[in-house]
Amino acid sequence: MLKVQLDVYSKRDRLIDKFRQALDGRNPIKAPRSMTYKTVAWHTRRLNAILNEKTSRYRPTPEIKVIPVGKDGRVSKPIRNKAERLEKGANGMFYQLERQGAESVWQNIVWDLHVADAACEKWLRSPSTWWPKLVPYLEEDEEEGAEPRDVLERVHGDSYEKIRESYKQEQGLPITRFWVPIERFYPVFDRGFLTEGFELSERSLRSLMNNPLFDTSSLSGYAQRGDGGLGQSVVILEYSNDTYHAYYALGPSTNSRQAWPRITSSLSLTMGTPVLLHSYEHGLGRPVYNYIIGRGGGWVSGDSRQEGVMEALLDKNQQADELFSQKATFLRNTMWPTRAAYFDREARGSDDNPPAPPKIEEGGIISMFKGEDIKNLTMNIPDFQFADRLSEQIIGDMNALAGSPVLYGERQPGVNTGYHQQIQQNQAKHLDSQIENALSRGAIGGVELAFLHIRAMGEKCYVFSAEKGRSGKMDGEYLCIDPKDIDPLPQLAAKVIDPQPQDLMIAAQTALQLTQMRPGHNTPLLDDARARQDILGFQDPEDIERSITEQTLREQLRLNPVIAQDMAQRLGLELAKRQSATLSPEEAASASPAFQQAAAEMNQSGEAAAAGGVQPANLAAQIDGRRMAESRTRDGAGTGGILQGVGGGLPTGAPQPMQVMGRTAQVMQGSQLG
Amino acid sequence: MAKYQKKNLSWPEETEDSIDSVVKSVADDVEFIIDSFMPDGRRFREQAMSEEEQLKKYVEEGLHDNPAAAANWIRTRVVQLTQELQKYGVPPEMVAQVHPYDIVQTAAFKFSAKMEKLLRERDEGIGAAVAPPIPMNPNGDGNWLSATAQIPQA
Repeated sequence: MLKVQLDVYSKRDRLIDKFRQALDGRNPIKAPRSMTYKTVAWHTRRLNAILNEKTSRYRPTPEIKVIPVGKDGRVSKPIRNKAERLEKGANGMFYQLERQGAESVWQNIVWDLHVADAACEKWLRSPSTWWPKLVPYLEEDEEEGAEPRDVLERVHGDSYEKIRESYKQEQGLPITRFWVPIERFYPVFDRGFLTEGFELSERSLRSLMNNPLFDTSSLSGYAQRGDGGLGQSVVILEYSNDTYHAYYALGPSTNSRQAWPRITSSLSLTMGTPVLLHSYEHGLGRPVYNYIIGRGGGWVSGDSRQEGVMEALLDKNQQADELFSQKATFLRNTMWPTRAAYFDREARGSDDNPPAPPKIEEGGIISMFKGEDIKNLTMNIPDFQFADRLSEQIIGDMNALAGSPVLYGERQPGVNTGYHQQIQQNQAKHLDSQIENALSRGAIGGVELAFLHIRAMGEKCYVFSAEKGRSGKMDGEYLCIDPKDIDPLPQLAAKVIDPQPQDLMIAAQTALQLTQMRPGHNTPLLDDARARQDILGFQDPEDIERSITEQTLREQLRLNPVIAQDMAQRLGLELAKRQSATLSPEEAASASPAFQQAAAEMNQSGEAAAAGGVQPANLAAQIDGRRMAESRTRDGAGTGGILQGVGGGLPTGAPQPMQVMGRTAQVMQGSQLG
Repeated sequence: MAKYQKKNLSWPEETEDSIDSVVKSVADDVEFIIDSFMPDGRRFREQAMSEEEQLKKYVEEGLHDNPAAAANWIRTRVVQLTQELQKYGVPPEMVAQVHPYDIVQTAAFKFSAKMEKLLRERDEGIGAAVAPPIPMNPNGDGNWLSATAQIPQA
């Protein structure tokens, strides 16, 4: 069966291999070998540049959205809350996988989907590896029929359930995902559904022998070399269908026992004898592989509509490399100057052979006869008009095939107007959106596999989720993914690309124009909610409207005089609390007579009160704050009250004339205290 | 992607929080301004005056025994404080509420009490108002001479 699949996909594998060679700069450039000039062979790496630019448009990990499903057109709050929690859990899962170093899986998927029109990943669970303390076992002295218990249950007894959950939180989600290079995966589709899949990979024989899960008894004879099998690569065949996931080693054929199959040779792969290493029922109801089909059909039956595009891109890349090398060769051989010395035969004497060329140091001087000369032999550098035009055409073709970098503002040859530029951008966006849809479907497929694994385990799983709050600090929490919450599987959506800033700017400008009042009509073309939803792409325009109203009301409230008054009062309190604004009786008494008299006169004259609303008795109250506050009938009045931490503001309890008149007396009284 | 999240504060709590921040900031500004115009404070990028200099200026300006000079001193600084606070963006109604006269008078009394104490000490011969010892040139081997040490004659 593997042989059939290898044949079906042989064309795909060859093409992808050629593509990867070109990306690595290993495609040969045909150049003449010459003794008279140096040949330069340079790769333009145009394909890498295109891929870098295109793959960088995608998010490092997808953002999952769990869609709450309501009844009768209405989604209740509990359903929405549950969906939101699950959504955070799904995104937390990607966060955790990222921390485990699996972020390259998604990057590779994005890369493969662009390069090879399909991508594949594999989701596996391994609870005994992640949660070793939850593996039940029997002690030696326990009876055979006894219930096996794990180590946490044996140690913690009554608090087992609680400890168990916190242990799982700490250890994380026991699920991992792996990138499967597309040319190493051989899917079997039945009416469009992936029903089976073969994957080829390589491991060392030693790694196989050390894996306790694997039954390697039939391979034990091969691992007796000095390196314990480290140097021997073994091709592993993984197989998965709706029920099983199995591992086979492709051992050497019985005819030539030392000829191990090699992953790069399809022929050798059909010769070995598969040895079953391990198999188990995964319980997912679908293969463990997440196969993502690209815009060209994804090689489902061994063909892809993208094949022609891939071939064309390879051709254009080759042409660009050769043209570039020709230009470089020309420049290499003309721009290093070669000189000719012209001698006067008569002046030098009649000899058939010209004299030896003069040696001239850089910046040095030589003497020659009149009429003699030294000139550069190099010809004028041509302007490469034809070659440049060809070069531009190749680049233009590659951009059209791949989805051009006009999205990042690169102007194409011949495009001189904004209108044409916009047309090109639209074309590039449409090409991108097809890949975006494919990636989005792939992200959903991956999360579904993870959820199916959790259901198959029947265990509550925890992921850590961290978000940046409004304060800018990271807040985190453990989120539980309960198998009950994902049965049936929730409806999912995924975002794999963020809108570009220029998209938002254009959308904002459009929305602004459509919602402005039209002359003559006195109405806008669109209402705010529709502009927000359809032009700016916000999902909840009503929420935004509510937030804006709330924000406006808050601003109005803040401008309320009550707030301003409260702020002023609190400022008075704050200043009174501080050391700089308080005066001890000793300090008041020790001040110079000049200051004491000046203060008394200023306060009595009302000058202080008039300029700045000073409280005439305030200073005096500070001097003798405690006694005054206590003597007042109103508790907490005066700065003295403030000093005691009670009330605040002005000592309004005292009659104004008395305050003014008593000020000097109070000051003096304070000085006596000192 | 980090989503927009609301703080778990009610509107009054949030407003109180903001008011407290503003109040603290204005109070800091007041202290800073007072420090910048008081003789015993320090202006931006300037050296603080020594106590001796402060005392000299205090007596010269008549702050010890001339009520008119003292009143003028207070008035000048009240205007200064008011203007500075307005420069800092504190609205006039709030400036009025902080009672600039009280602040300046308090600061003046504190400063005056300190100067009066130094004057008393000087009159009584305690000699507190002496310039602090300053480091002298090293004598060549890394030892610092004390203020009373004799410089060896060559």
